[in-house]
Amino acid sequence: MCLIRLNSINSMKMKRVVLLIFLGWTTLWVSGQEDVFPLSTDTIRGWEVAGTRMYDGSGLWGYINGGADIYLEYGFERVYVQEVLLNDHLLKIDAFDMKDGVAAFGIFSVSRFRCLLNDSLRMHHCISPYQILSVLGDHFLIISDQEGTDAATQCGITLLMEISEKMQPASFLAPEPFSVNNAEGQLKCIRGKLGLMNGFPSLSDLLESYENYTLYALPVAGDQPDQVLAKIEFADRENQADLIHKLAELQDNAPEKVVYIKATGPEGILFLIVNKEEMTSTCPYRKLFSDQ
Amino acid sequence: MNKRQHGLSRRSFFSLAAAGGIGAALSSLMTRKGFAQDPQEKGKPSTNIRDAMAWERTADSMPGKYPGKVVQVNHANCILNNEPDQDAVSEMLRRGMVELTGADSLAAAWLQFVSPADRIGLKVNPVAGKSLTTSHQLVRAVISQLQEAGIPKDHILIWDRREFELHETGFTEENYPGIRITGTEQQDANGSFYGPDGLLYGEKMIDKDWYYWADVVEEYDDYTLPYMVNSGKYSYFSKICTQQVDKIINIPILKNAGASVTLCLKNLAYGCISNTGRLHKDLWGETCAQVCAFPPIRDKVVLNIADGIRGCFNGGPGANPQFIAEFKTLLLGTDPVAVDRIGYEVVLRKRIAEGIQTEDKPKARDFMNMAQELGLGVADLERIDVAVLNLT
Repeated sequence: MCLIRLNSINSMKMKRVVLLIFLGWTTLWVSGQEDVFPLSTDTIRGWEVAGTRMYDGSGLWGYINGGADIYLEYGFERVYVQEVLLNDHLLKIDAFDMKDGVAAFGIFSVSRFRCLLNDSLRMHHCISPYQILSVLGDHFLIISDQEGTDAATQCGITLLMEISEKMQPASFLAPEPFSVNNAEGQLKCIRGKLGLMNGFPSLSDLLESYENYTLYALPVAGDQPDQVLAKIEFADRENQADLIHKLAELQDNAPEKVVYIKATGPEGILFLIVNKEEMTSTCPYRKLFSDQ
Repeated sequence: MNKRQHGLSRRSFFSLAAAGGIGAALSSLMTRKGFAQDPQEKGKPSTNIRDAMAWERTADSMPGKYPGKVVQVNHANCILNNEPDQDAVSEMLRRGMVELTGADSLAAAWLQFVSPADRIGLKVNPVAGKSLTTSHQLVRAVISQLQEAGIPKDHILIWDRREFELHETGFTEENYPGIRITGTEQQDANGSFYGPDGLLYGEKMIDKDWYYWADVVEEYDDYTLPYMVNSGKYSYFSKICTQQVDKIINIPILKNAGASVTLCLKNLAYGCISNTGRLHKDLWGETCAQVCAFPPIRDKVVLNIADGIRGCFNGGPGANPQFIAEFKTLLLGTDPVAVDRIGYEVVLRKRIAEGIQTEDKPKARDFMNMAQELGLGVADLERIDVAVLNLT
């Protein structure tokens, strides 16, 4: 794999270009993904690997109790929990093997918060003190430390880069109209009630009666989570008509809001909910509905 | 208290009920407005909540001595060098206990709830791991103040569902000399969940006389079963609460669960019974409320001390460092519903401030309303008397 170091590149624009190149490149390598978990000293040379545990299916309740439910909602296969040591920094890695790349991005998207990004990392990631979250193909990774220091974080970044090089994972691509930049930022991917409650509670009343869907939701007015561009794909088309009806009702019952609705195929809907007073700032999103 | 003090074991109770002996007496209880409604009436799986309500309440039954009263003790400097400060936490607890009880001494305050003859269980919550467990400083303060009030150390027990999680988070006999540390689900020194007789250690820890029945089944694989103890439609109460303790002091940690909270009721309900995995999806709120209505919990929990020194406002009940917050507060009350309601407000304010949500989600409070309907405490905010102490 060709490594492109971005530490010296500060502009977001440039970073985006490189990420796009990388995403295009990794798409060619989907079939070449290597499953490297559980990690071994062969996979990450120079590291000491200790204490491997594995939980699969509902066994996740044994590991994280009620915290398991949201993983099961997204579609969970197994998790390897390991401790690795490098240069006196002890890291814990939770490698969640999810049902698919959407599930991996989904649980990542509702878990990240006020992320620091590192230009050296070319996968979706979120760095905060004590923890790095990332998506590698079908895997959601949590690398955590007990120090909260820059040195420990850097150690985690190094580990993540090494794993990524071995795995050569496919990167998650959000569906149209969402961009790579959206996926890097505040886009949430949700597959059920728990995801809604954790990732986009402002939509929970609207969507709580549905199951078997994939929702992408993006806040469109800064941090205000009640203004959203969303795309939902149901497993059956009856729900599409039902939700269109509910969105129309929402418009009737909330005159301070404007709701735009567009069917996308037989089972999908793209919709935009904005406050009337925010009409100017949300103009680019309204263009998506200009044929309505 | 145990079932003998009710003068009736569960088995004999149901033998009588089946024979019609006390059916008439129960019917008046069951028909009160809002009383013990089976979830099936709301389109949810049926449960045996009506069995719980058949048991007469006692002087200690929830919501205890101070219904609808919560003391919130804030301390701006209770975390030093990224750790709760023992002196500050002890002072928060001391001031809170005196404020809650109106007692003229700390010992008198504690003795309103426990006596030296009682076997006292401290129900902590270590499930999220070291970074988000009930803090040791608070547990040490409770133990120290209980001892000051004359409670023998060997009458105090620290407990949760999983003994090994207690150990992993530092609740060890080494750190708490003279205090018994135990859990319902246990592993031996070799890491096995099974004893030489081939039975789960957890199997020996459940009391099949006391159960929460719900019409929901989850069959667990061999790997999962030791964490659940049993499958099927029954969740059995732990012998720790039915047989091994007389009084329970509930010490949960302030955490969110989606837009809701896992605090007093959740810590008790999911911490005291087996086979919980099946209950999350369809009966989460019902379980939180209804399990607490059974006598082993309802009549034994005398005090709730919610640890909000640290907590989390999203991503709970697991520990996600990005969502861990220093709330720097303790919430005290005998009424677990009222404490949960105030804790909910603390978390809600933080979630709104952090842009997680914009407004209250009333459905997130359903379990508190259910608990109020069951007579376990006060969920209506306007009926809760909150005393706020700000320490520095």
